[in-house]
Amino acid sequence: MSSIIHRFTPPTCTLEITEKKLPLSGWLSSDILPNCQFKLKFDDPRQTTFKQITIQGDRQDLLQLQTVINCYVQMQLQSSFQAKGIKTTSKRDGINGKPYLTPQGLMHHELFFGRLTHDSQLHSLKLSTIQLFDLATALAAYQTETIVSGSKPQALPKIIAFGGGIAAVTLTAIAIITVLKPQMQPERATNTQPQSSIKIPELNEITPPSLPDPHQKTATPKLREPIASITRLPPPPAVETPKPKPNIPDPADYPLSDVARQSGLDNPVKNKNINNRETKSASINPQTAPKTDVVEQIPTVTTSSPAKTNLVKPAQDLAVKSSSNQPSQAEQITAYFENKWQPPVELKQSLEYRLVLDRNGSIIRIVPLGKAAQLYLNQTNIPVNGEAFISPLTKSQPDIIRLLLNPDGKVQVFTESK
Amino acid sequence: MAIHPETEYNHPQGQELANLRVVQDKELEEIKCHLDLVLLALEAIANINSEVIIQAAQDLHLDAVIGDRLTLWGLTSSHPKLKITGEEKKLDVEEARSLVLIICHLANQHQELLRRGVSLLEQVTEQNESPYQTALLSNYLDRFINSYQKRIAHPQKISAESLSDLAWKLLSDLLFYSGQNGHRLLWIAIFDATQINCP
Repeated sequence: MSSIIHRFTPPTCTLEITEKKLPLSGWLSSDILPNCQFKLKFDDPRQTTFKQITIQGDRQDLLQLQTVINCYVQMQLQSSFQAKGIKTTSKRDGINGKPYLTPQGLMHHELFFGRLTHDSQLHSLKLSTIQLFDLATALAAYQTETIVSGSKPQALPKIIAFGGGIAAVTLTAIAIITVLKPQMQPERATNTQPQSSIKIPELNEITPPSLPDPHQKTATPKLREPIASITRLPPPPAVETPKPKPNIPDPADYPLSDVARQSGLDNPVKNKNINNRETKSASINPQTAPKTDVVEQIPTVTTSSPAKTNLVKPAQDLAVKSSSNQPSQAEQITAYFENKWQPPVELKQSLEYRLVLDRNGSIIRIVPLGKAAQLYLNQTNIPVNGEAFISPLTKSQPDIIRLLLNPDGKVQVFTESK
Repeated sequence: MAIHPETEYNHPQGQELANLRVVQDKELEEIKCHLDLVLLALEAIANINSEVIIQAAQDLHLDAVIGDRLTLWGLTSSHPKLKITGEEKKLDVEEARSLVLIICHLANQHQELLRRGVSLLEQVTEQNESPYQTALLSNYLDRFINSYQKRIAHPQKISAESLSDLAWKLLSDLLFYSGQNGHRLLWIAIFDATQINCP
């Protein structure tokens, strides 16, 4: 039995439809529809994970949902041309467990699940107009695709199935041969309109980190999981250098998710540690190797501080270069983005990017980490045209950095080993 | 009831609209008002003038159908005091179809802007803040109200608050019209509205 997966991923939801075709479906009457299951996840990156609801069901449920959405949208549009007082819901809504929508104020809508299977503890979901639009777009895209694929000429003549006899055996044999042939339409994710781009190629565009230890996890913030469930990162890989000084905090004490989410919060304990390290670093000969160790062994650690000047110092502490009065790479990058980064009003999450730098101080690759980072990339003012925005890299400076842009305007920079 | 001859369209979307239903004369006047509103909202949010609309008509090869009306539109837009008296050519169904295609084409071109506007509006609404805090929404509302007062012939008595609500509603509607099926949505909306308004 072959199956086809249709996947539509507008920014605020993911619609996945799996169609399982029966072996003889190409020979049978077109009235026999393939078995179909759908899964609709409202995964707006601007919402917290626990608000990301999933609905699923079969073909009938999908058609019902499609009808409800289309009718509601049409009535909403029509109401702009009519006098007030025209209701957009009828008394028949909600009867027999059908899902339905009602307006909530001017810009929001409430979707009542009815009989639809879902993982919410409530019986309804509040949708914004953007979410409703994305959902309608995904459903329309699937409908278009279904029409297009259904209008393709049949390779074999339609034969009404009948059982028994030699003819049935012959049909079965031919069907088996047909199934065993390379599938013309294997499992696929389907591209739709630009606003509902497919998910798989997006994932393929994200280059995995080129860290030496194959067992090390990618330090990508897991936007879809609650903080408590995120596992701590393993220790960084060992390098052939002496151990760091004892007063340098253990990276395991500062999981990346906590750091990213606590940007701007005042933590007196962490500040104290920063001050201690700063004092120590001032007295250490800049030619000492341990500074380089810190860069390579604690690639993702920094601590937050309310004052902007304090934000620069930890980066300096981790990435200060020997025998040079020039600001470090991380300092330069932090300073650059502190001037340029203007968080959008509606942004509630931190945006994280991996930047691969060229020797001349320009960016040759930007890797957005997470859906929110992809969405807001063009608003980050990251120089994307290959222009040099920091001084050329010296030999021992890492050329991969992680940039964290926080919704409160703060900027954090981490260096990663090559 | 007059049955209008079907115009050959190079647009599959236009042909789709042509097959949807037969138009009654008395509906066309209301349809014109509905399209005026949507066009007004589009011009206000995208800050475009009649020249852009005429250009869009040319790009879609619809200027032969709608060119004269758009030129007239442009004149009245740039010269608000110029009143066209006498018998103005009534909107016919081919013009209505062309306008729907042009509006949805322009909305699609400005989809990112529409999306941003609606997102901002959702945010200020949820936080009980004034839309005037954001330049995008503030400018849109000002342009919308300004144009409405100048261009809508025989405007219904409408309060300032209702007019603002209408502006926000049309902004949301434009987002839906910017999608791939936008032309169908707009066509059905302007007709279904007349079904209820016309007894």
